[in-house]
Amino acid sequence: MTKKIGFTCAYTPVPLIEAAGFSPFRVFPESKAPDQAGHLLHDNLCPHVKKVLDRALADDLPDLEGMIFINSCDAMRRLSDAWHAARPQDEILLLDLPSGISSLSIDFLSKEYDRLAKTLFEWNHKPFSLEKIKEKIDNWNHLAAMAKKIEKTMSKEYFPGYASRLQHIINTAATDSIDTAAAAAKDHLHPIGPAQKGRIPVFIFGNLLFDPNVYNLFEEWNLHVAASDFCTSSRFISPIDVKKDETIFRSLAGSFLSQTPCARTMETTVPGSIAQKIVQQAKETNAKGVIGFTLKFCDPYLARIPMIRKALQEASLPFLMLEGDCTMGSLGQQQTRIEAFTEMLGV
Amino acid sequence: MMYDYFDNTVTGITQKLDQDPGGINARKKYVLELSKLGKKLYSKDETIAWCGVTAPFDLLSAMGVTSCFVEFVGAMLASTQTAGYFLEEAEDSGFATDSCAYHRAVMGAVMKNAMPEPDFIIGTSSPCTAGLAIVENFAHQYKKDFFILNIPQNDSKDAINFLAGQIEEMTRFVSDHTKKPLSKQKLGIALDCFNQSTRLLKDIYDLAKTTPSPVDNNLLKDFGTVISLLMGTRQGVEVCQAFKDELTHRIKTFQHHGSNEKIRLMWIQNRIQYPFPINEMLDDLGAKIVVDELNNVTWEPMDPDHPFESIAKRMISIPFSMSTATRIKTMQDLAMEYGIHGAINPCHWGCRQGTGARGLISKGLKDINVPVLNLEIDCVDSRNLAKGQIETRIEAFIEMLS
Amino acid sequence: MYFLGIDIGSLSCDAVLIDEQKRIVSSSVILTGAKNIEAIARVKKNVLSASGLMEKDIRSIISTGYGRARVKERDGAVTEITCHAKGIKQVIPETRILIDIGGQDSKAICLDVEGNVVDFAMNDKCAAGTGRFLEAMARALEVDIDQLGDLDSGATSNLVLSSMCTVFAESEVVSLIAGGTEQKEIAKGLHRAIAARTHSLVKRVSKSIDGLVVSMSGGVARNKGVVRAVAESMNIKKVNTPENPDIIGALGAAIIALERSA
Repeated sequence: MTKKIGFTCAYTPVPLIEAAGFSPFRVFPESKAPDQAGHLLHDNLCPHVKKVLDRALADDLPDLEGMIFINSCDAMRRLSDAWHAARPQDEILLLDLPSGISSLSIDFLSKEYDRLAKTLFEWNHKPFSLEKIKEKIDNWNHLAAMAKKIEKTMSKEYFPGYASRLQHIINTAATDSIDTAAAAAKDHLHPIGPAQKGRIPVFIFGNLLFDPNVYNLFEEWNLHVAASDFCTSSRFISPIDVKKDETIFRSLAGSFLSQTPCARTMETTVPGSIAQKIVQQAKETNAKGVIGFTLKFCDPYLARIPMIRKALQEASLPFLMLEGDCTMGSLGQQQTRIEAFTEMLGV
Repeated sequence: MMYDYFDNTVTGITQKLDQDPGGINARKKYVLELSKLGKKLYSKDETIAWCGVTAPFDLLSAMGVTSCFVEFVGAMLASTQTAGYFLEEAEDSGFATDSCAYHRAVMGAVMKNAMPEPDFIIGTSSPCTAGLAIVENFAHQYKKDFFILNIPQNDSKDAINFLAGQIEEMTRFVSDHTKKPLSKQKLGIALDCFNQSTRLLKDIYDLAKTTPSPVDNNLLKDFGTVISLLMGTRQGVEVCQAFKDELTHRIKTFQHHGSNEKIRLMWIQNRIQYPFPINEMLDDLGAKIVVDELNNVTWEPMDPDHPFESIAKRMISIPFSMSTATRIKTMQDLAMEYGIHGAINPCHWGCRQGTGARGLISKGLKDINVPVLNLEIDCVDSRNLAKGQIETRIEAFIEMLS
Repeated sequence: MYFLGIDIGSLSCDAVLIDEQKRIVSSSVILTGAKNIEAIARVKKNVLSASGLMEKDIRSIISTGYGRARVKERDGAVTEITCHAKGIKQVIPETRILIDIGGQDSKAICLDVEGNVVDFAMNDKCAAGTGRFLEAMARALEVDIDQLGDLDSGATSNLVLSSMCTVFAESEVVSLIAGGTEQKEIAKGLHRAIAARTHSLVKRVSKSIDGLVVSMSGGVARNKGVVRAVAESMNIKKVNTPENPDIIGALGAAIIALERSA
């Protein structure tokens, strides 16, 4: 059985994990583990971080050879701090992540990814291999291309169960292997059955929405998810643009910093650009409305929601803002709001 | 309104200092210089930069920029009990009450045109994500150019080079706006002032370690954070000298022996900014805050031959920038050096970077037998303050330590 | 032909029966209790017996409210937001902002000129300012809940309750009484506190309410003191309230049943 490396952030390059001979294990915040994280850190932290830590404290994890953390936000930083206390036996690596793209930040992040790669190979007692890394990146890009095709199909018309199956494929890449995910994606390129009419197309964005059943629920509530922008969906499965005239790590860094960002990454030349990006994404999919699913206490989104709301208002796109822990339980509570929003859009 | 507030404060304090020319009056001199800075910020004649807390103010000062971190205004609004008005404005505009009130208050001030419009904005990834996010909002709102200093979590060579490179890039960004290049001479003077101030800070903090301590509960409140605004200037040196003189004087004249110091405390992170009788409470209980966590020199002297590298190392050395383990180690060292009996951690509502480590910090100090009182409080927003509950907790804690 | 709307909430279960002209034939409001299926059956029975009609006379049933999926005989389920908008449009057609404060939750709904929902905000995580809150305050003031609305008559102070948590607010009221504060001042203080909270909810759906007609529904709309305080907080002359504010949701559901059958 392949040894696993745990990670929590979409800025973690899965190809590097696999190149070093490990299989990836994204630790999703889904567990019946009791609430203990607040005691070690604080209660008022994002539920993603808290539940991941709860899993660590309750040992509700498979055997992991190590954990990779990315300094994407304060809560993630604190998670990596607490992991040392919760699981002192784990190998842990924290990478720094610049807040925006520039020549210096690409250079720095490329060194961080280089450090990550070398560390992973050391953890697995294997000789460092650029060839392996290139191979895995090729596999990843193959998967990403298929995922993009599926997303495009999804955005045009509603196919029952299609969005849920895509999420399942993405989760497979995050918790099993790129190849297994790619095989599933290949089977899923064409929808089973004809398109159906009558559902309201919406664009959804936010932090995490990883449970494939969520998409089935949306369909029950009359929604057609035309596109989704989460770090468990399109932001995770993004292609890596390998350029011939630069190192593979520079390519990695450049790709990760220029992909559709979560709220913590900024374009200094266009402050607040996330708002227009969301408007643009919604318009591209002809969505009738936009739903934001953000984690409670998520500072990057808390600070950007007002400008996103304003931009959507100016673009005459109805917007429903939902805050919770992005799990099925929290969505159940939000059912009335989502259904009311659908009713509103359906008029 | 704000210009008048600062102008009146400058006039008032100057008069008081003129009436007592031989007096030491460190705190008055400090408030005077900060008020002058406030006046400059609101004067419309200066090149203004709104920044993150850990921005290199000495470097900006050397480049002729009047700069300040935005949380300073949040604190000031709280101290003048006007924060509620601006918080409500921000909340009505969609800024959730889950966020830090330092940032929410200044956002409200932006919306109410109570903040001076900046010429540009410099964000810092340390101390916190929310702080960086709010200055992005500034840039978006004011439509001004925005520069980010990404501060890495460790002091490796690559990390220091990365930050040093960004700082150098920042000087080009600033020069593009001021139309003046960075003057090596002015930078040299600023760094020299910084180093002088640093030496004086070390002296101040060493004096504070005396038993009983010559400080009172108010004297060095938020000093370490705020003095950074002045440290590259002559005025900063004078203020630091005044504090050193004040403490030396108190020790010489045995003033500190009159103080009711039974319990020595460390205050973690920042103080409560609105009027709250905590100092008086602690005085009555015989407790004294002999050290604030952020009143600490963690950097080496600035090297004028390698200014960007020096400044980078300094910025990374601030405990907020590093892991909680590093922060706890620093606090443990402070606890031992100052001989403290207990620590108070105001777990400021909405603070993820600082308060987020509440449990780890409690454990870290407990490991060296220093109990911690975690006060769940909002240091800027007093609208929901449960005064009685906070007072009860403080009293009970001091009783426990006694 | 008749059309039935059933609003099954966590506290009360309401039903409205209308005819083809949207006239209310009968209505019923009962406590939901622990067994909402029984409450649904009872409220349906009430409206039928009050109108002298039989089950077969009902053309269509729409359910709404938190328990809408429990109404087995429904022809459709629609959220209470849409139903309240539909209901208020029928009784106060010029309404553009609807505030609904029920037993345990509160909503603000922004409507367009046609009465369609354009935005909404809900608070269903905390019972502060809702019917439950007022019941607790009435107990603390030792008055009936029906008397609370007029109790603030003649109040002159600027007292506002600082706690909105039901438990702590009750303690605060008890302390105020013990300290000699008059009942009318306390009542005014708590009405102001609810109004401020309500105003914040409205601001989430409409930053400005200049020129917009504001109405209130839900059981709390029967409290004239709260209604007055909301108008004062929003700096408007009047907040409209329908004659039967409790049944607006069920009325809206019945109208939707009619419209969908057409």
